[in-house]
Amino acid sequence: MHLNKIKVRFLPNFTVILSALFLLSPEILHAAWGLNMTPGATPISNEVYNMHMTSLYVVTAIGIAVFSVMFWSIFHHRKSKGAKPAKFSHSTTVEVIWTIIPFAIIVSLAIPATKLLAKMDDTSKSEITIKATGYQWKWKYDYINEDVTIYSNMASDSVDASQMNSGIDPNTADNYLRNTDTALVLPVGKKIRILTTANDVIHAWWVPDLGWQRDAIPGFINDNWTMINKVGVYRGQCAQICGKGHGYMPIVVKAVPEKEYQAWIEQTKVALNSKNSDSNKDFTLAELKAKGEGVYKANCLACHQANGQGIKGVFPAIDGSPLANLKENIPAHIHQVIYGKGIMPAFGEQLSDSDIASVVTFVRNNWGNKTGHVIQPKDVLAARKK
Amino acid sequence: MSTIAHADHDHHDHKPTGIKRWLFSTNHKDIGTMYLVFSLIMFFVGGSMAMIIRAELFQPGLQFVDPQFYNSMVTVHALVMIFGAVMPAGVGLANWMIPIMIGAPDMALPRMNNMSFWIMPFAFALLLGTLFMEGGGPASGWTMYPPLVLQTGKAFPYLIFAVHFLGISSIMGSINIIATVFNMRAPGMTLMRLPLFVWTWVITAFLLIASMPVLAGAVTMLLTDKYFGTSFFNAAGGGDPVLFQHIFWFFGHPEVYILALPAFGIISQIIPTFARKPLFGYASMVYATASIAILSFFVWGHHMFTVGLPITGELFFMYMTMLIAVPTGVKVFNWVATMWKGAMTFEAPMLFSIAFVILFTIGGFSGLMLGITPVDFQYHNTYFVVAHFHYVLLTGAVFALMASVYYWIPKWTGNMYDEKLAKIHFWLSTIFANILFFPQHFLGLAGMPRRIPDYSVQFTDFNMISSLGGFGYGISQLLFVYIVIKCVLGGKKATSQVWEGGRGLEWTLSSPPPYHSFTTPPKVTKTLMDY
Amino acid sequence: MVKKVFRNNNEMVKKRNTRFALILGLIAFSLYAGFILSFMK
Repeated sequence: MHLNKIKVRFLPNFTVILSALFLLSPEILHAAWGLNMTPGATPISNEVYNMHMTSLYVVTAIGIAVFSVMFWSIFHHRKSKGAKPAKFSHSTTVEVIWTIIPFAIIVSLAIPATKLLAKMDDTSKSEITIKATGYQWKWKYDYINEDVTIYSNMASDSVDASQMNSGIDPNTADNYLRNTDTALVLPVGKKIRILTTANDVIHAWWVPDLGWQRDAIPGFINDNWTMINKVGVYRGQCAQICGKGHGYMPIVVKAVPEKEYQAWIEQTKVALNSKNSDSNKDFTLAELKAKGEGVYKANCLACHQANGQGIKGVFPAIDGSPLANLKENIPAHIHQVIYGKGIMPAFGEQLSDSDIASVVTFVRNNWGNKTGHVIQPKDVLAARKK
Repeated sequence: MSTIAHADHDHHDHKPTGIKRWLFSTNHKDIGTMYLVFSLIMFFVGGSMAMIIRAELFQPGLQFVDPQFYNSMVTVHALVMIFGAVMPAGVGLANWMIPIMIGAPDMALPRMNNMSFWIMPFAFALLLGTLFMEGGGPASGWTMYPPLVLQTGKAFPYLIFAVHFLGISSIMGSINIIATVFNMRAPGMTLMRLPLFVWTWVITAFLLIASMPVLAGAVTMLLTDKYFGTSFFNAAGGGDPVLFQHIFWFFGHPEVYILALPAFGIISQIIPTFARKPLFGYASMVYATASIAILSFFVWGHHMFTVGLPITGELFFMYMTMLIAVPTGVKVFNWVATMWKGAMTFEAPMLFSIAFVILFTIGGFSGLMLGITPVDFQYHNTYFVVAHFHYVLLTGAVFALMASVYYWIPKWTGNMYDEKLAKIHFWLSTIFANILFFPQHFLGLAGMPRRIPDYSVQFTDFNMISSLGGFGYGISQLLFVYIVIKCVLGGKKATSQVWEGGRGLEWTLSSPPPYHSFTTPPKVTKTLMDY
Repeated sequence: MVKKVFRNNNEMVKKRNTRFALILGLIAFSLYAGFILSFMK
């Protein structure tokens, strides 16, 4: 069934693409096939697009000129047509000319490129500052002046569909691999400074519609800016190989009007403040397991796998491990989730007490781990205080 | 000079047979052959990894391999193709042809020659062995950026030592080539009479000697960072992860030209032969090659535009990068001018060379676009880059190597290859390589990052086309192996001249040439190279 | 065997070859060591 569908979709597309290859006209470049860069959503991305098109036209023109001379020669100066080889082997005039002309072309490209680069580099007078921190494999966004911090994981329908031989058609997932549980909400029409950095390895923050990408490097903070003009949702993903989950680190920017943005900030602040409001509540095993499964999918699955087996030699198995089974290891288990260990990151900051309690309960009562242990948020709270 | 007189009698006396001939060989032709065979094997090893990559990318979703293994395929494919396929093929050709082209009996340092070859199989045993270890092979990309590379498991020290060994091997090879060309030229073979293939290799050898130790230094620092508590690249310990990138690309960009310059040399030999006309602008070709080599040490920053260099640095690297287009342009124009008013025939070497000129230039165009910093912020680390470097390395360097094999294999074996099959191989390779890589430009521009095992559904169509091209390209290379084996086993006998338009010392020796190429130094006069 | 290959070369060429190898090797090694040392703090 699936294969048939691919064939049906594939054949007409193939002809379209082939004709596009031969008729590289701007209309086709703009067509829905994703043949070209898009002008994007900001003044800068528009200029980047124009610079791209200029250089594309320049190289195409050079290519047509050089290759037509070559093909003319190939068709006319062939032995089978009785061509007699000429004897010349150099000509200073010609050689000087074809050194100077490319140089002139390059200078004419370099001048607008320099101006554009200077513009992109100027982060002054920004009104909002966001710090994007890359984690293996999610993004953290700090709204610097608002005291708001959000974590952005890949949406769970994409996680499900992206498992090996999941049997789920990726087309059914909402924006497969390019959708997050929490979007970065930004106001339109404001100059926004975006700082990039990372917590573990080097990542790169890239939303094509904003016109640039920038590496997120541990120990360094890179400075960028954007000003989005159009309300909309803009998608991108991590662009620098950062390990196993590199392909699963989407970025979603939701550009909204200023008012909506303010409302969202207030709403998020309230939600963040009440994050640990259920720390003293008690839950049943079933409640914790149900919540824990979601937390596991967003935070643990990339390394420890859906089956809890991890990857031999790289990521340890949880299924059957003493840490997740023995009763006396419960405090150590909670401690490791809060503070991390080795290449396992610390989750204490990003997860609430009930999140940690539920995920620890989940892994202790899933797969072959049938301990029946119930960890309550207050246990986590106690562990944090130590 | 009395030694020369009896040189001819014991010509065959000292040719060991069987495994010893190869294991202990100090003969430049045998070592050259071993290099070439090794590189062909590695071409298929690396190629099968590419097939795994393309199979996984055929459609969205994960079907065949785990993302970690996918990353190690991406990493090892690159290392194998660069260090195992293209570089050894170049060294193999240098070994075979340089002594013959300059009228020397053998390479200057034959025992070192043997050593530099035999290090390689061990280096690759280390590298490829990691794929079967617990935790898998290195999976950080061939660029080995820390801190990611420091997360590599047991494979890590194997990776580092494999790189060290490969570095030692190529430094020894380069020393040998430089010593041979500077000390062992036949009388009358002045520097400005050297065939261009020899010139490009001398320049390449200097690039290798200057850049390989830098790579070795960088990976040594990685090793001490991981095991001996140093903090060269660890921000938490006062180091700088970006420093590695600077050092790596200080090696890495010259490395690109190490792969490309010998290819330029090959093309500059082949086009005059089949145009029956001297190479246009010999001197400017030499100077262009040298300026490309020198410039290559000042452009490393263009691999790092997105790491956040100061704007002055970005501008410097942008200007230098764009400047490289000038000497490269000169080379392309010279090739076209060589064809102009020639009397061309289109045997397989010429077909591959023409394809090289066109497709390498396309790769050069995308390179120029990538060199424009503000736009590179959109191209960087996308499939646009993947398309770019495969155009210069596959349809560039590898096509030149294919051309060189067809060009010289009659000389090596004494038999003509099957021209009809070779032409079929050419057309299949060219068509499939373009189906494979041209759509990747579109993927990159549409926003698909490189080194991802799975992609968003809007990229499906082009990935499918690209994969089909990849499978086609992979299968058609089996035909190449068949043609080569067939030619080694027999075929129409080749004359010494082989090609009507062949000029130079290599065409004065018998096909196959005697075991010790020139036992009496030939006299080189200017006319030998002329038409 | 090696000697035989060079029967049309005199000892001087061989010496020059070795000298070349040593100098180039030294350059390579000093680049390697120099690079590492220059980044030590």
